[in-house]
Amino acid sequence: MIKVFLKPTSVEEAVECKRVNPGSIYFGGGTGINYAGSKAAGECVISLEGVGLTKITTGEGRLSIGSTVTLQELIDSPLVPDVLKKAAGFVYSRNIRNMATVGGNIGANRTDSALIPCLTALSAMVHTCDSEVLSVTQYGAGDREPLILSVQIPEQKGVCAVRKISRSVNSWPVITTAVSMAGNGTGMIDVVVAVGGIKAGVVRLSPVEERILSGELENTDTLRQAVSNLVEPVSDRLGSCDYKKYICGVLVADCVAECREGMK
Amino acid sequence: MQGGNEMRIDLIINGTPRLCYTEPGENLQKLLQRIGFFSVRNIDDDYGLTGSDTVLFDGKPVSAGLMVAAQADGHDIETVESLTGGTVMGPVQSALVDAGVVQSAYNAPAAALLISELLGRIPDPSREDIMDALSSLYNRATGYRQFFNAVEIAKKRMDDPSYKQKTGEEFREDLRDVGKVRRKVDGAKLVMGKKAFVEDMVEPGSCVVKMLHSPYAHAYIKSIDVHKAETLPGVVLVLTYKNTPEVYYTSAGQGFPEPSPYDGRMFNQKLYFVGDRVAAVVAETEEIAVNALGKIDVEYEVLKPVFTIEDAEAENAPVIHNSFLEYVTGAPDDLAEQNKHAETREGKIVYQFPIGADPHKNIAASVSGGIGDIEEGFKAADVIVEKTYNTPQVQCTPCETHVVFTRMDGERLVIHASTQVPWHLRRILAAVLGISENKIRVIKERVGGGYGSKQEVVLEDVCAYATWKTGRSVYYHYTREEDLTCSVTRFPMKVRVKLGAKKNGTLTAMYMDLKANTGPFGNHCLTVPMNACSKSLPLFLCDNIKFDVKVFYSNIFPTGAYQGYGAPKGSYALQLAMAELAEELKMDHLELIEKNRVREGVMLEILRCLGEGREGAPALVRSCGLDGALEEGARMIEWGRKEESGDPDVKIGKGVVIVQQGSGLPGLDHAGADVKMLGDGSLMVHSGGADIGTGLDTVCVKLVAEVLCTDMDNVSILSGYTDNTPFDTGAYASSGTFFSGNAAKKAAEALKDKIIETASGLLEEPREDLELVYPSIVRGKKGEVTFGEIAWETQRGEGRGQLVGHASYTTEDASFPYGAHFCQVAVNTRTGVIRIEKYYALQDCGTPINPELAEGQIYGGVLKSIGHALYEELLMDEDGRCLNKDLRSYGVPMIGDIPEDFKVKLVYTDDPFGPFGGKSVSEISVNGAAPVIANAVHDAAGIWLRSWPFTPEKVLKALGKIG
Repeated sequence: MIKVFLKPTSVEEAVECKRVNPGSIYFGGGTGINYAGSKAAGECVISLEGVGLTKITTGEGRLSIGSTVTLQELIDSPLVPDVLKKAAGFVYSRNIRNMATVGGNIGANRTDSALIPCLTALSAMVHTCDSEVLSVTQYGAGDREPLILSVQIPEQKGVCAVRKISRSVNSWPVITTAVSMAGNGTGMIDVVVAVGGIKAGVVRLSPVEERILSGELENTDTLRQAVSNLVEPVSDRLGSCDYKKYICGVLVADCVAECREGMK
Repeated sequence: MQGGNEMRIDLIINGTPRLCYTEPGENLQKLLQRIGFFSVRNIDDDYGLTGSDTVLFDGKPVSAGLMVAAQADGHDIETVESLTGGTVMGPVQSALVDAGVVQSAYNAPAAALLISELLGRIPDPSREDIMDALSSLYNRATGYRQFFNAVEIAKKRMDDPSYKQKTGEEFREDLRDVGKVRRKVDGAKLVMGKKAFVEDMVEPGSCVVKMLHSPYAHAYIKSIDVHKAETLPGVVLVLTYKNTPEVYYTSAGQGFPEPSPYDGRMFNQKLYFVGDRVAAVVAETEEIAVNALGKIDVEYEVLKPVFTIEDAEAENAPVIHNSFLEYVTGAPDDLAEQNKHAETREGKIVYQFPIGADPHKNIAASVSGGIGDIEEGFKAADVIVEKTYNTPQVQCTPCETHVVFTRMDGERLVIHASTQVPWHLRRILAAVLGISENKIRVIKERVGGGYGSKQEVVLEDVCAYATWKTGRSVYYHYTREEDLTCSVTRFPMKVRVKLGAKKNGTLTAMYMDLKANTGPFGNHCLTVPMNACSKSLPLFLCDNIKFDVKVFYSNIFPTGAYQGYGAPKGSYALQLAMAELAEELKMDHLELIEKNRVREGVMLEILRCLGEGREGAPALVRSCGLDGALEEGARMIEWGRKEESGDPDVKIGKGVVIVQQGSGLPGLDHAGADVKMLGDGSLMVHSGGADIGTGLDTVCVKLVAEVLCTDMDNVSILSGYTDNTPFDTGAYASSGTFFSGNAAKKAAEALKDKIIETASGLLEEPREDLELVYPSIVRGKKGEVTFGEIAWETQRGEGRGQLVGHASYTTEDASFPYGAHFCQVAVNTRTGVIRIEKYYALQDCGTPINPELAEGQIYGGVLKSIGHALYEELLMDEDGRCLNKDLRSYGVPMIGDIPEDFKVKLVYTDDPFGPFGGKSVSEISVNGAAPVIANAVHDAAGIWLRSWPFTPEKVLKALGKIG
């Protein structure tokens, strides 16, 4: 239960609030904190509404997204690549998209995150108040204490595709995948495969990335099988381990096929 | 920068600056309700899934339940009150009413806000824009389809407030209001967010109830100590099995004497499921009540639970109800022997009459019956198919969870209820409290969705007892989690169907062996499973039919009534078996249906042995719209034409099924109504019927206006108030239009008779020369008199008294609604995902009294059924704990789940028994989707899906893609 609601007016003030209130948590849209099933309980919350992290800008070869930009603002922005808009749309409810923030989605580091697989595939970097620059998955793997100021996405040289599967449009995602591929005109030089729904957080499938780069996985079925063999999801109410392994392979293969098509 | 425990926030609500004080953690939705904006509702435990808590925050829709009030500081908030000035609906609101989507309407204010925001942002929105704008809105009643019509009307009405658009097909040119699209009589009140629901009636200072639920699926309470809780300041009462009446009853709101066993008390010493009642705390505030729950010490003796039919019927299975058995009539000869080993802590079970129960073997009920000679029928068959179909536990999930508010009025107990059965509720509560019925007044408020779940006494008994005992007003509103696990669900069933047929497709034998899981209690345990047979077998004509029904107790979450009753599960099994038979016969499925289906004029002999707790009777089919429904549906879907997707992984297929239901329960149901002439000749209807959002009040008003040749605006209605309106068994078994409607029509006819008689005296003309003419006039050969003049004559100082028509309606006549459902699916054989491309529901409800509302109910029923078929199931772990306790995890369909091409077509028939030919419409449409989707999937991908839900994982398994 929130007992203290702090409203700093600058990043510096927000960081100071955090320092003097051990156990306090940053508060963006609040959707991940206020909902009944939330585990992110904190007696003291620090609202980021007034600290000025609401801008989406381009420059210096990258797209910068302030951490309190909402998912709907991502979708509405002409600066944001379509693939990231599609990923933001994986949060089905427009009400929630109007509230949930980019920073909140990254900070929560949920395995069914809408954005993290896509941001990972886009090689997005998290800029924190400690002047650290981390990949999205690195940030998620840490203690997630430093305030996220922005997410910066380098100018895309390749293509990126995302997929999600759930029973109904608003059901919890079973698996979310994102793949990016970049070439240099003669061949492929970079591949990122990021997957949510396998275990805690979002994971990169580096062995699969390497095999795609090496040209081993040109065949769609071989690729699907390689992914299925690599991942070890747990059986739960969303599906059995066998199903998740299989469908993860299918979604990655579909993303790769879309990327290959886009690179033609 | 602010901090501390109380915060001042300045915000603008609907254009007016407001200053509020809030605790830092106070939810914005709760704050808004606290300061009077009660249309901002919370029904999903602040998960932000249903949209009932929608407000516009700086012009953008958000879920207030997901925000703390402190976030609103310095911002603009708009609620539904911003859309209207006083009593007149805004253009979006009137469009929603005209489109027929304002039915149970709990979320109607939110829908109005969302569409207003959409039209402000995009004046001419696309289908995708509309779906996106309504992506936050949960609507269980009307299936979303009519929202597109509402947006179309609203956008034009914003420019031209007088704009009108036809929103549904109309019927019966010979009638003025019946069969015509008219505004639902309570539509404006509901869509504008006026006080309408139980929660709106709660008095400040009322106590609240919180329940201590069992953590075990099967256990005894060895000891319970509530002293610490009772002595907590602010706790008014703590209830347990030790201090509550030792009265056994059923929660089922059925006609007395009920076929359901009386197998539980308000609190039992034995606990039957995770979530069962251990103790209730009645306290001054919710916080105190929750605190007190933690101070109750309970020691449990944990027993081995039973969850499945197979476990329940196993040798040496744990016995769920090892109770003493009592029979009011028809006790078996060996009752003493049966009771020899009963356990005192389990109390007793009282049967009003035998229902084939043997609870000491976990059998809650059983029945068998049939016609002809089933063995001979199978011997005569050239082809036999025998398959078993499984269906899980699904939840009604009404928008409004179970809720009640009780208070004293002098020496009388007043129950503000969200119920389908006001009179059964009063009777049951009187018995539980040990008082006479005149001491209880039930006020049925608007019901924010029932679908059968509010045919039960779920929490009213606890509140009523607490109020009666303490004199305090008491409020109890289930959380979504409580509603999912502690109210009622549809019975899991396992249905084995065996069909025999000649090579030409003529059925020679039909056998249905049905086993059902009633869970912890036996409410509806005989009638729901029987209904699976009685609403499916009569769809096909066969001389040799047999059924066996056996129902088992277990420790799953409680079951009970749910729209369609048992029919959706019987229909799924039988209709799918017919499709499997067609394949065996190498015959077109539609041709097989045509060859064997029910037709007008046939006598349904099978109903002789399918009475609901009494002897049945064969019934003559006097109207049947299947001819037109099948013909039109086949044309619409282009039956027989094979479709290709263009994607080698995606296979397209088509399916067809036929469905039926009843129109109430002839011989069991009973409805009553009064129609009173008021001082100016306008009319007041007092109907016993319980309008649960479906438009029954509008049905009654239309019927009365039609009979009495007056304008609907001259007729008002009060319904479901036990003090003021006549007895009615309630809104279940699709009885509303047929029973309550016929009662209102008969009452109007009785009043008409009195009007004519009075006019005859006034005009000095014989009765036979007089007729009622519109509007509100009696015309003779020599003169005429208005209703206003008649009212004055009868109600003046020397008058003969107010004219009142009264009628009750009972019947042995049966009217069956029929329907044909067609669909086209695309099955992705790589992902297992089934996409419904086309769904056409062609329904015969006789004369559709409210066509647009009938269509909405059909859309709603179909989408519920799609949800059950594809997404929904209540899951539990090995200890019986629920794994999906919120609507998102449970999987209710949203607007993005509707079929791409979704159409309802009303097929007119003239039924001789229904009011102006009207038959029921409310339940039948949930019977079609599961079998028709399964049939279409088979046509597409060659697999038979014999268990719900048809998840991608099951599809992939059936395709052999995964093990």
